[in-house]
Amino acid sequence: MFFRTPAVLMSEKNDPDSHVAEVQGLFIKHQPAVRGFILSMIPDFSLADDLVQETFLVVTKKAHTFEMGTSFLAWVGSIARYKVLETLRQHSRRNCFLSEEVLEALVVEQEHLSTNTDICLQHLATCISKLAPQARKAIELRYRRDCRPPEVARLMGCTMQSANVTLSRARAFLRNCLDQQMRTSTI
Amino acid sequence: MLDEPRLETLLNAYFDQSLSAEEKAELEQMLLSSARARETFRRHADQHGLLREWALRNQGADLASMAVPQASTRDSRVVPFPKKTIYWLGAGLAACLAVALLAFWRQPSPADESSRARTVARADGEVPWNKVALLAEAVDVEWASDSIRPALGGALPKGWLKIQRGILRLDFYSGVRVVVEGPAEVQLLSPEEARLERGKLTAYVTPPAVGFTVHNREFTVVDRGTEFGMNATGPSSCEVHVFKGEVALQGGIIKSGEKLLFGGDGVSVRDGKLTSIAPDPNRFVNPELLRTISDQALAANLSEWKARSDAFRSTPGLGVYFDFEDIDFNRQVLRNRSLSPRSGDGVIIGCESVPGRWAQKGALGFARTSDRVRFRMEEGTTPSLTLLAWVRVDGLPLQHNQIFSMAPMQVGEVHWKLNEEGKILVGVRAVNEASWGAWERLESPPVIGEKDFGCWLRLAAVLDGEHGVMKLYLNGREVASGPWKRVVPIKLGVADLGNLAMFSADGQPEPTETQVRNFGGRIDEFAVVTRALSAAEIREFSKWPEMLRAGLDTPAETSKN
Repeated sequence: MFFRTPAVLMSEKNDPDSHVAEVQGLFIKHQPAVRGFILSMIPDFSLADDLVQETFLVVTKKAHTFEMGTSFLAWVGSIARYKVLETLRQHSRRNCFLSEEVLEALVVEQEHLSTNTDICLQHLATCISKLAPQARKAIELRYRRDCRPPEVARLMGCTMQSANVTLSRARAFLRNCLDQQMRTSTI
Repeated sequence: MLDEPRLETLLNAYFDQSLSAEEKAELEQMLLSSARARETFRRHADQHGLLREWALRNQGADLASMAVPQASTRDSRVVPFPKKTIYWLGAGLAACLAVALLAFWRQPSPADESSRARTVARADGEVPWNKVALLAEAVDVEWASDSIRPALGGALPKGWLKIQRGILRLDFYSGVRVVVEGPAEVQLLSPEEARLERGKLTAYVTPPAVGFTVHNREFTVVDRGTEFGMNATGPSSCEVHVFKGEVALQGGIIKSGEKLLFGGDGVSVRDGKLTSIAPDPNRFVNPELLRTISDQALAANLSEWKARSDAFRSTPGLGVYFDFEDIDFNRQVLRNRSLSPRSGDGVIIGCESVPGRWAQKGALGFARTSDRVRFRMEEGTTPSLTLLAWVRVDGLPLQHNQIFSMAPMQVGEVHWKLNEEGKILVGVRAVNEASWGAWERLESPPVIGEKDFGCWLRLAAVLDGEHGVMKLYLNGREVASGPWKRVVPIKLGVADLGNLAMFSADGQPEPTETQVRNFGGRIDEFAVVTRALSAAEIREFSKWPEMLRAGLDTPAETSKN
């Protein structure tokens, strides 16, 4: 149970709709972080998109329990985590998910969802523009068209091994580039 | 020992959903037994999420570019994510599009905001192919409220130019020079065509522009290579004076064919009656006369600025004041004119000597990556700081176009810059870390665009430590204000104008291309004040001299929209 100050309670009482809208606004702001968190446990884009949407519905439903000024990321993270575990249990036979034990180990060490996603996205776009044409094509096929490596290979006219190597190198390049951009970021 | 290449392979397979059962077991074992492996996992996971978010936003942008968002498509519901792409392309495309656009409207990313700003600007006619002429000169102009309000030196789009008084020189892209005397109403139709509704117009048509046409209610004047004047004094009266060459009158009162007029000819139409008149060049301002008037006005403006500049030197707290006058290029010195200086003179590195706001006013041109003015404010701190500059932005080619930076890599370091989207940014380093989160920053909306390039702008940034507020101003008007949460004393020290002051000690990261952040344009006045100036003081610094004010104050108004 969250403690809410009288002022907060009064403002919610006066305008509960605006409080819900404000919480929804926070969700939209932090949506990349929520999506990233979900994708780390559910790498399937389609399932993850559904989960982002379901998380949003829960956030809307439970908006009245969130007190402005407290950590939204911690609050929404717990909701997203619950939704993920629920989904994993429903799809427990799927090989592509890690076991709950491993996911617990990963989550425990993650203090909060990542922030600064807007600036990260800005830098990422810069880094993507620096990719070689084939590498960029592979990334676009994978992330924009949701193609898995066999499909990427077919569309690029290469072997699957080659597609895997291209994707792997592109990701490594992007990680380094992003690190460098973030390290040298000023204002 | 962690086999990192193997971990990379397994993580790639995991995020591409192509792990075999054996590989999954191997990856799980690694993750359970190694904190480093878990850290690597999280980095990959973050990247996976970011790439997907980037892709979704680009899909949104691609779809958005297929339809111009209308206010009526807004929805009061908040649905924060584009549903799966395939649904977007289905029968519910319009609804999904509205939903996705709404998501971006409610909480846009910087990139989204910028692309939308560009879209809006274009919707307002800010497209290069819509431009027909350049506003080359403007003297003592008072614009009508419903007129296009261009900046001096700015491109003019199609539309109505209406002035209550003053004189304009328009250089049409076709090569025609037109002088307009107010009160006047002129509609710009194309680089080869205009309409004179009211007022005086003189056209100087060069050979490439033969055929230049001016419409009026009474007739149309088609140039055959000449100089001519038109005077529309009322709804049914207009005169044409041909000074040189030949023009043809067509349409309107000319019932059939055309009436040719030659140098020394003139006609007057009044209440439907056409009569011959003697042309009188003295009734029109020609470009030479305009230049003389303009020069006189500019000289008066310059004198006015000098008087104001002298008074400004005694501004309380003024630590640095470069007026860019009498620059000593032999010694590469830019003198600090403050009467209570907290810095020595500036040293010019690179930079070109160029004219400032007036041909006789000094300025420095910044173009190369090395160009800058280096100075050193006396060591110490200040709770508040105001930065003021008159700049001419010639373009925003870089991600960071630095106007000023001070005290590199120290808590209290200050940066002031324009980014490639036309936003103004100011920031103070709050903690001693090389990270984005180390900064307290304020960012304006995109306020500087193509229409401002080549025009003189007045920029100001206020860091008010006493009230925990940051503010940004453009042309005397506040364009952004926000809290300064982690207030730290502002560090005074080594500073660069027009570039990024770098710290070259060992152990610093190698410079990267994002550190190429020189300013591209001119600066002809700059000040550092060690207190927070009020809005009124900033307006005073940003004032244009009276004579040209009406013509030159307008970019701020148009920029904000």
